[in-house]
Amino acid sequence: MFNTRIRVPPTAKPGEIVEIRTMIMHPMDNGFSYTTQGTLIPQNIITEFSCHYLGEEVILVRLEPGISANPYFTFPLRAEATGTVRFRWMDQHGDITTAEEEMVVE
Amino acid sequence: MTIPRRHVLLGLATTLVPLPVLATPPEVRDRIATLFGPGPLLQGPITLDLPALAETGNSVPLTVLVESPMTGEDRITRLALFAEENPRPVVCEVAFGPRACAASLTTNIRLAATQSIVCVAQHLDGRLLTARREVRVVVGACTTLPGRY
Repeated sequence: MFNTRIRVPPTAKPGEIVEIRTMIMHPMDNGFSYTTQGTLIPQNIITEFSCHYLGEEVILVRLEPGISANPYFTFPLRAEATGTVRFRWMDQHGDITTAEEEMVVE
Repeated sequence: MTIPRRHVLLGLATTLVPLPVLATPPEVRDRIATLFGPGPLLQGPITLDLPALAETGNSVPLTVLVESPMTGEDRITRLALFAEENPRPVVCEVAFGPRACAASLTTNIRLAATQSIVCVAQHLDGRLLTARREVRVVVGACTTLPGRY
């Protein structure tokens, strides 16, 4: 489990397009850099990120080492009904981190 | 036998037309073909927003937006971003689900050197759209010391 920071507007009007911001604290070791002792740091990355709203998928990202440390994603979402916005990250070992936030639509 | 001057000029002209994908390194073209199939790449209404000059390649802000209503049959299903000179050229692959209201994403990427970023997006009908942007990178990622991301 890694620390996450997400920003979902607590309220929105129906049909409004809101901006969702997410970040997960993760080094995203790309497998190309060395320690000061000269040993290679093995690859250790988040491989998958997804967001679901009202039970349906909004976005799914497959990450590669080309994504910076502390992977940050911002994307638009159309508010339709009150519900939970769920986020899920999976690292290369299969460990899963989740987060969710309620959005009231009225 | 003499070759007509017109044919020579025509031939020269076709080799000089800068097809965007032809400028892409073969390795990256292979990756595009693996992910999206061999279809032709059309210049698409894609906005790649990233700084023209990046001080550090460790974290370069990037926004990609493919213009699409994202309704009914007229939607972008997925896209991928490629950094041509990175040791691992695929930066990320994105799939847009039924709740996506715009084919847009903002993130931070790593760049090893001054290079072009290529975006390939796939429409629901199978069309492949592409766009590229050049970025100058002062200090590349991959070469820096640990702890400095």
